[in-house]
Amino acid sequence: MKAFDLYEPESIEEACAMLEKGNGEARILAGGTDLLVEMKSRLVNLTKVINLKGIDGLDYISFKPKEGMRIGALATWSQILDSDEVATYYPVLKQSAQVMASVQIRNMATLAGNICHASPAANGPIPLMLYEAECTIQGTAGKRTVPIEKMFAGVQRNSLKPGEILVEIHIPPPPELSSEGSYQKFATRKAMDLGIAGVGALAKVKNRSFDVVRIALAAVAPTPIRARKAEEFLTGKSTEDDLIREGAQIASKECNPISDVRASKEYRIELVKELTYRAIKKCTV
Amino acid sequence: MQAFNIVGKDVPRNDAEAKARGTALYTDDLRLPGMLFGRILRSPLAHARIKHIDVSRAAGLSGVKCVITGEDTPKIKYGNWRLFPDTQDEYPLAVDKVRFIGDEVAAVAAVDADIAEEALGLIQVEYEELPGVFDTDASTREGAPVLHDYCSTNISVNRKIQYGDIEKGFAESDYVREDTFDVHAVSHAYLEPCAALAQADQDGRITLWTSTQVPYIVQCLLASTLGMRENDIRVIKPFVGGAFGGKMELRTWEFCAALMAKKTGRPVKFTLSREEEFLAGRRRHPMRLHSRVGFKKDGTLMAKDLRIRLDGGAYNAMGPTATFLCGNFGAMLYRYPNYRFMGEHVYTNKPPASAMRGFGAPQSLYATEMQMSMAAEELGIDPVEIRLKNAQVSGDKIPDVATISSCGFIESIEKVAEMSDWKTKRKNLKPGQGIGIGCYSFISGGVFNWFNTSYPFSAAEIRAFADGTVHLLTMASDIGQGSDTALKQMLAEELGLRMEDIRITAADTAMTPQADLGTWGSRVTLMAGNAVLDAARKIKDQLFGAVSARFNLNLIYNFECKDGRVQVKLRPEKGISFGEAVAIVQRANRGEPLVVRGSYTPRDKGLVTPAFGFGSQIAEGEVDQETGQVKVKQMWTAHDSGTVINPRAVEGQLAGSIQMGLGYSLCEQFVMDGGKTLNTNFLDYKMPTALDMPPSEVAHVETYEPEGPFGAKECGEGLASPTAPAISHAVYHATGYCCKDLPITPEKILRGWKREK
Amino acid sequence: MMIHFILNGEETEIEAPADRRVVDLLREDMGLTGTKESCGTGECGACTILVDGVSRLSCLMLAAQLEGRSITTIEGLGSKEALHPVQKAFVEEGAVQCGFCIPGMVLASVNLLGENPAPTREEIRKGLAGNLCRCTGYQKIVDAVESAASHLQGKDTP
Repeated sequence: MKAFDLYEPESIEEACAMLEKGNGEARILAGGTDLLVEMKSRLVNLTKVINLKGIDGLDYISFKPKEGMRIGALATWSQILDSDEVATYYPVLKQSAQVMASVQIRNMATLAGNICHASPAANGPIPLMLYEAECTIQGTAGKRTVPIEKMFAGVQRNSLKPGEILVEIHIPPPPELSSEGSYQKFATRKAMDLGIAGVGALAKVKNRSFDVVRIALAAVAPTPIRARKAEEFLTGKSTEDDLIREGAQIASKECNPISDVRASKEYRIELVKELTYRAIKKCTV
Repeated sequence: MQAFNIVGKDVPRNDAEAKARGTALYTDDLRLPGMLFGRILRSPLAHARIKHIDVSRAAGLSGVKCVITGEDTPKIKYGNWRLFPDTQDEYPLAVDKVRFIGDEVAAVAAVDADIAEEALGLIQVEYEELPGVFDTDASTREGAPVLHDYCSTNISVNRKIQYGDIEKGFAESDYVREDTFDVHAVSHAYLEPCAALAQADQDGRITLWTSTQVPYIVQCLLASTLGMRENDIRVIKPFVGGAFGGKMELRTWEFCAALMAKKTGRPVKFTLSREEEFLAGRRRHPMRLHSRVGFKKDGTLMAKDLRIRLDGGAYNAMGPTATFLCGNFGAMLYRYPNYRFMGEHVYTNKPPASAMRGFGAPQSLYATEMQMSMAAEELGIDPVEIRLKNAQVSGDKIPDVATISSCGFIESIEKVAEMSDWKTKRKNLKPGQGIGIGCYSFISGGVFNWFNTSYPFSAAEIRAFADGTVHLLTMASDIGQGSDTALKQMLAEELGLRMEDIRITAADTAMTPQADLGTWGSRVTLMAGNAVLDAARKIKDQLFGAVSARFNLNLIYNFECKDGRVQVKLRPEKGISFGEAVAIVQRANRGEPLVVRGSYTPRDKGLVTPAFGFGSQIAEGEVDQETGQVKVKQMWTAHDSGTVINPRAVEGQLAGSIQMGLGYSLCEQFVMDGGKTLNTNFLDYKMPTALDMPPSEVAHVETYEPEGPFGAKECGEGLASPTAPAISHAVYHATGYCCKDLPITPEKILRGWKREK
Repeated sequence: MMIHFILNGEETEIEAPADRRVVDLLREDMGLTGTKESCGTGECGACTILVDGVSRLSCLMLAAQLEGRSITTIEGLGSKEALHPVQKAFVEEGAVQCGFCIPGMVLASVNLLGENPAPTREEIRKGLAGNLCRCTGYQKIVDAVESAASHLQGKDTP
């Protein structure tokens, strides 16, 4: 690994200032599970690493029925997996934590880091997009809030500006739903794997028709995406199999996957069709 | 069956505790004062002429102590096939040309690994890129770029086996099928990356600690490439974290560590990164197999014509052996009255393929087994029945190649069929569910002297002491399979001692007796075991003499070593402790320690092996109709390894083989872009995790191998073969899609299934 | 920088560059070579250590992240006289072959049994899914963890 300087600021403000001064050669260290791999493979050329660990109280997960959930920048996947409130109010987030890498990685990696790494295949964005979370970003110029979808600028590119840090993920109070929702991740292995494709869905079914439908897709576009056309199509429709299939078909046309070492474009489209169907179907039972 | 005290028991391995405590030392765990860290510069191009290398900036970097290129070496080629020097085609560091992405160009030794890594970036190499060839068709086309000047066709090895009259065989067949199979490259993926540490003494003699399965071969080839004498090189094998065929040659870092230790006077250690292992590491041969096979209506085999092209990558490595063995394995399992095999080993600009668990068998038997299953289907015969009908039995011959001695093949088929409830399941499974069978045979070590050694194939020395202990010295290499424990068990059994009475020193070429060809071809239990028994029997002769003299016994008595005593077989009271007997022998020899040597070199055993292991495996699974994903629900295995020396160790070998076989069939592969390996980490080289493994049941089929120690034969590699055809057959049963190009990915299944529908 | 932490029960103070990876600190600077490195990118589990009793990967940690923590490496399990029950089960069940994954595997098992003292075989597989092994097919490793669990719960091993 190339030598670098490690900074341990005591406040977010200090961290932002350091980051800005780093001039592109500085990065934030949270769980480190992505950053250290990039540094070891010499994919990034950093001279400064800013460790957030010295800042007190960033590893919280808190929930208030009227406010929803707040997840601090240093909350790990294990904390999410162990949280009763996540399990009760945001079950798809728990499902995504269950299929995240391995125990050791979950003990280290943070949800915020997973967002900032901005891998199109990441587990974290899918439930957050379904629950319409927003991200609190702090920079030297102050705080701003952006919807989760706006966090992603491209493959492994987030939309943070120089000197900005994702400090909190806020999930609004859980929408009224008729089922838990579902996260369908398709990977070669059952653990330690990136999804070839992933689909999350939430739905509220009333009188055997969809009142609310939300669908998010992973690993089939440069960023995680919502399948809004499929959502629109299904909203108001009855929960018949054929219609769900048709909705899934629409979702498969909304994505734009590539062929890579893990699978071909064509196969990913097939998968989106099937996984969307399965995810929505789960929402109806 | 003879009753044994220690052989056949679940004796805990003698290294398990040290490994569980983390105190077992592997090569990278070793450090010496003043030690330097080495790194290798690898070619970024698949095929290029080296015009110029400038190392001055690297050499000038603070902390760098030595930089070498091919120009600093004696430029002597090496290769494992010493018997045929023209097959030795590799330089430790590139001379004039590079032939694959990852080919070794230069090496740096520095005071720490980061500096060495940084120095690599400062070496400037001027290449003239040449056109590359990345598959065997392109490589053998008229006018294709030539990799090695000595070999204008790019076909470096030809092997042929032929007996009977295949044309007549096909003419008399009622049903002939012809298939082409493409099997892919996979990685050994041992957990311990390769590492080597060398130290030069004041006289320039080298001690090399290295993660290898062949210390003797490394000693000899290192000596020849450095222009030194064999005895001036000492190779020590520390604990090895798995090898599976991937550590059975002299490798560049071993050479560089030794040369740079000589040049700098400081110890030099190289440890490969996982990325290097995947980018440039040895791998299982990809092959194209073209097989034509003829049957009578009733399923009787009549003829087989097998043509194989091995994609060998840039160098021969162990390719010549794999080429021949493909032909041998093609003639195994079933009785082919007429058989022809032609194999070609072809150079391409890719990382060299070499030996890997199964050594040609997984590829060759995939074709055999899938054709048997497809033929059964088309002839309307149960796949188990067609196998039973044609199965080889003890005494069968492959003319001029091998004779099968012990053989529990039929029993193994019957056993797995019974364990899995084959007949019922075959009939009653629903669409999308399937059950399939795969069988194997494998060698218990090779008899062909390709290394051209002048020493025995295996040797053992036993030193016996008056305190009732013995010291076993052997060059046999435990690479994780547990051979040190198995050899101790055999020695304890033969001498009537306990495991704790035996000390073992293994795999140190300066201390352990010449020689042992190493750990490959499932040879250690049988060959090193026989050497140990040979030595043990010589010890016993002397001890029996001592007891006979001590009690002034009648010549007709038989003796035994049992429970720490040396005694008359039927009158145990006429006996003394093992230690006392040793003391008597020692006194009789004016204090000379009681030391004996034993050895084993197979003779009159054909061209292949002294003994074949056999077995059968059944896989049950289901295929997701929409995604094509395969779920293997259960595996059953029945294997004939002769006498089982340590059941738990054998079961461990089998379970490990299933993991490797599962990966080979379903998810492991190198994704290549021309000559470049794209998946160079464990995230994208998809080796099954604990969660991916199906439950599995194992049965031992008891046979007694007359050539094997206590009747034992191989168990380590045979099982590398049946898993892929068993799973593939189950997928075929479930979907009607028979995979002819491994691995069986969900994507291929989905496409194939749609076609079948 | 000077780093203070508890290493296998002992107060430890060591000078290390902040950018030193923990696996290098342990192996190169402190001679604790029981922690293995097989991939260096968090994909194999061989370098697993316990940090405040929880399993983490030492190849993805920087020395500075040890400050104030309590670390257990494989050398810190059991005692000179007796193996830790998990180590003992690995030895007795034949779960050890080449052994390179074993220190990480043992520590991952200790972490698992700490969270779930009576795991099912499936739960054991899940708990160990981040630890790759190429020799054993994991079968006897799962056996060993099962046996260690029942031993730790005071039941006789079957």
